[in-house]
Amino acid sequence: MMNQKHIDVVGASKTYPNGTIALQPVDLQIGKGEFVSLLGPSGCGKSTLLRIIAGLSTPSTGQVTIPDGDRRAFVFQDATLLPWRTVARNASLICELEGIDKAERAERVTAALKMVGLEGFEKVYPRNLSGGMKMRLSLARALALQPELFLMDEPFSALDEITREVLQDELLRIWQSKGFTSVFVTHNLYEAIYLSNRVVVMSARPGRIERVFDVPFSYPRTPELRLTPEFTALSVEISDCLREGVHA
Amino acid sequence: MTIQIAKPASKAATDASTKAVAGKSKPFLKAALPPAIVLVVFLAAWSIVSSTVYGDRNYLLPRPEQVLQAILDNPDTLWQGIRITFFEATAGFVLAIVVGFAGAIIMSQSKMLERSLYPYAVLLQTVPVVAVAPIIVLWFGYNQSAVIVIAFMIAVFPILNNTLLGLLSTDRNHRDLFRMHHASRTTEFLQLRLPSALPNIFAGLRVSAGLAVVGAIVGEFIIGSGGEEGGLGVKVLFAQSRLATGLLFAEVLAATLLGFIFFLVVTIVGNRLIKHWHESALKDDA
Repeated sequence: MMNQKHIDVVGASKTYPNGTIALQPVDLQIGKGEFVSLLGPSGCGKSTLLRIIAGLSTPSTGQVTIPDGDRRAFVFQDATLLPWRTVARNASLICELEGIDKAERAERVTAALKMVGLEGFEKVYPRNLSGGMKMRLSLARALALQPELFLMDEPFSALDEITREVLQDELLRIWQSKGFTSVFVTHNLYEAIYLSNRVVVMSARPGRIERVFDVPFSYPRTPELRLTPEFTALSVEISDCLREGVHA
Repeated sequence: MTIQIAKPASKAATDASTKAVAGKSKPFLKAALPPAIVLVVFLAAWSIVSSTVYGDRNYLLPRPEQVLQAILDNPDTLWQGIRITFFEATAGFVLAIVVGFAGAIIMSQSKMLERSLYPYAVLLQTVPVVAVAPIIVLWFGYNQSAVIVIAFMIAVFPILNNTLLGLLSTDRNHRDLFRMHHASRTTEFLQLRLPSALPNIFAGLRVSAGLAVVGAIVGEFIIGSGGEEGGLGVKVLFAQSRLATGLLFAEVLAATLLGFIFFLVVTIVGNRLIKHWHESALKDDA
């Protein structure tokens, strides 16, 4: 799956001014079009690593290389919508900030809203949307940028189980049709396995990469996958690894 | 997959719109009736107390109908008072908005500026403006500009404080989002910080609107005049000195009305601006 290196993290670490080590130096290569999850307990530095890749945080040491001109979109844990903007205007926000012209923007917004199943809601305000629909809109806003890199920080963690599984399937469908590279932070190991080509298990105090697991299941994946013995076996293996990390 | 999800969602939207339509007419009576009853009871009690307790000394507490008579007898006096006080309060309020906004915007630009200036903004707020008023009169003279400055001084701090608070409480993730996509400071201010501060800004404006009227009347008390020419404050003093209590009450009523109108206008403008999204502006359909 890893044809061509897209994100190259070399010795990146993060130490805060007060001395807290959020992340020990880590190396990680992510291939073009890959779907990689960063999995671990809170405090393992998974969000820190994602923010470094996003350029939202500068590493204390080391560096992250991504190709020049590649667009990065970031999806936060809460939908971070602007409540005074309608659905359509929220979806166009990132494109506006990036200076994409109006006609082009309108086209992209229409396409992105259609992709996440929000067509017909253009004029609705976010407060009239359910939690799942807010997250769909947040995804659409990022998709409208047509990013090469899609970075997500526990985007589904506030949703109920059913909505979450539906959105996981939609995310996979969109990812497969668009082919962007995805980095997905989560503390839910089933979510990590279901979505990813590879699962990067991280552990806390100090934050570091414990082990990287290849996920052998082919795409498109369906909910039945969760019930197979192979899925369970991998879950057990990763779960053990997570627990070792906590005890260490 | 998509169609499955869109169904319950569009139902939610329909629900919201039917509620909005249904919630217009009937509840008005339901909302207006209880306070109307209270008003009638209050006026009756006032009238009874005035005639039984005060009797022939009821110049201390004129009956409601005497106040009404005073209004009907002195429309020009009241109208002049309202006009002058309205002008002074409006001028003071506008000045307070301009200075309060400018101050808050400057202080919100950097932690450094905020740290050096904010303590003084708080300290200045604790200065009893009424006590400073005589100094203002000394500087500006016994005229309308002194009254406007006093109204401004009383009204400016709630605007300054609330605007600053609003500008400084922008959501962190929103800021990250804007910075990640190379938004300029101006864009971030206009598209993010200012709109998200609106609820706080209008909270400040609502308080200040009432205070501006209070400030104008206090200012008029201090500049006085000895005659009847002037705003409601001047007229109240004059009516009191002649024991014209019917008129006095009418003037107080006019001043109250003026403050209320200020408050109402600001509230309506504020609710229009944030009606779609902020809890405080939402009707019961949320």
